[in-house]
Amino acid sequence: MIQDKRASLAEAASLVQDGDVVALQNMATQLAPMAVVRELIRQGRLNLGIVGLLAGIPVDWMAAAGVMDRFIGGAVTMEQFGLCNRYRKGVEAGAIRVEELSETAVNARLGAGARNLPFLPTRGLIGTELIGMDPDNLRLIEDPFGGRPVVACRALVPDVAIVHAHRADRAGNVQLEPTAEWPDLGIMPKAANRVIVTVEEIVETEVLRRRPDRTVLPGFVVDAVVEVPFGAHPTSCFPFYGYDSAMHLAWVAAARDDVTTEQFLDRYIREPADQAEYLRAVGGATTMLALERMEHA
Amino acid sequence: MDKRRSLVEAASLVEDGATVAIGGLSMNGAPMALVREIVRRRARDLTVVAIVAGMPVDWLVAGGCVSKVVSGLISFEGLGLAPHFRAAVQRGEVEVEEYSEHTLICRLQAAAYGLPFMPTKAGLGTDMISMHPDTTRHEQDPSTGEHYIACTPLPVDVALVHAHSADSQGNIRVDPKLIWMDNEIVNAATTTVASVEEVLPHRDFVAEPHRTTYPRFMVDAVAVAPYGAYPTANFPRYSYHAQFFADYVQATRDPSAWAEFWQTRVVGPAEQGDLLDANGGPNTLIDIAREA
Repeated sequence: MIQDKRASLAEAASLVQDGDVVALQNMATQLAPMAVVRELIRQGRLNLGIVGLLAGIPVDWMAAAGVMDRFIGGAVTMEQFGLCNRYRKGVEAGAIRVEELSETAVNARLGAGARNLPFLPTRGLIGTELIGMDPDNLRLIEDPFGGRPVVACRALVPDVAIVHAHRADRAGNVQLEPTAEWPDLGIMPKAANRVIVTVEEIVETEVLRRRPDRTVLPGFVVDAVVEVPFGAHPTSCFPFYGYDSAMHLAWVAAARDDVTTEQFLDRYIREPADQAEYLRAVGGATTMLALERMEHA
Repeated sequence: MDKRRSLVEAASLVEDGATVAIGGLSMNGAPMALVREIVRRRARDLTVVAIVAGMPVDWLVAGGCVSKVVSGLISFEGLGLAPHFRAAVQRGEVEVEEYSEHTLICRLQAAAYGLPFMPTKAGLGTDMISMHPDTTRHEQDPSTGEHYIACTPLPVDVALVHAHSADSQGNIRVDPKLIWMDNEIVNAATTTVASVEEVLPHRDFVAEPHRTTYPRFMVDAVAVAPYGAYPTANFPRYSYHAQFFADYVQATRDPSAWAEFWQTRVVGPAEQGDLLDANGGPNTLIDIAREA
């Protein structure tokens, strides 16, 4: 008997509790689970710890809305669109604590969580001060076989992992179209206690079976699957659509000032009642068609 | 750089005394054409690493090429044990270093990542650890008190894999990507030698980069070998040849029958086409395609 994992955005977001550690898929301007991020802001979550390999606009929005108080990860940047200034401001004001790791160390910590190990070793980080900055989670240890020391990266088990992908069936088997596959999709859901997946479309299992090699997550690791077309917007979901440059630039401009920041959050995040209203607010079909042609990308 | 080589040239990259890892899984996707050339050139003193294998290891042992086997399991599954491997181990001619599949993968990953060890919880509570004190050690994490096994790296000189296609530069496709655990041995190996069903134009690889399984910088030589996994399977094109396995096991029961079988159906045929003709020719090819 296949369990139906389909849920609404509101139901899925309710799997995240105040204070949870939440791992977010995202590579700067690419493939972040933005619809769930907006829903968490709308629901007024508090004190979230966000884990990201290389996070961008979702973390800046969450910092601006005051739903997060710590970040564990490699970097937070919108690349060519600039720094994430609301996140930066939160860190500078002491409202957001940062546990900075190299990307390899993030993967090692989540990888240890995924494999139910106390730690995974890495040769990365040796010779840097990152080890001394995070003695609770990174430790130089001796090789039991007498070789050179390595850095033990303590297991990180997020309460929830949230990812976006191209398609899934109702059992939560998730497929990714041929695209750049970042390591976070493969590791975060296996490390986390609960997993939320948004997809461009929910299809019959039969459709997945035509290309079983494209299934990247089996349904048994997934707790909720939500169909959200353009669910990664304004980040990209190649090859379906590119990232929205205009939206990133509008955010960068709005984020310079507290009043315009609040106006932006109201207009694009708090006021739209559902994904269709959100897409209308960001430019409707004209924007969607342009993003599909990847004119901005 | 053109990495295409003949089967003979590609097999010659395996030097006597080398540690050779064999791809495929049990009845599937083994690099049999390359293994056959290694046997034909009478390689000696090889250490063979195979996570789960059958026929390729049995051929190498029957050919007198092997001094040691590092593996999780060597068998023909439902078609029996691997007879020459079993006999050689019983006679003490081949040393066996046995691990769980997962421990073996951890050792290969430690080699691939350049780490002194890879931890795992698989194997805790078994005698496997005490059988290999030099390579697997029971440890306790000082901060959490959790127990784990530290697995040393297993360096591999040459990985041998069979795949569906390549371009002349050595980009390799396993297509669709049923790669078993071959990626673990390719990542761990200093040299990778692949046999492929066919060579495609480089532009095909550029047009669909996501279908490249091993990029050219990880691959040292590519040999074209249609049905190069025969008598093991290479889905979706052909299944394993159950009749070959049955005849093989039957022949090992009688020394003279074995000598003839080995000569006429394994090492004697000169080219890949001759091998297939010696084993039923077109009828066999049709059968194994239908079985797939």
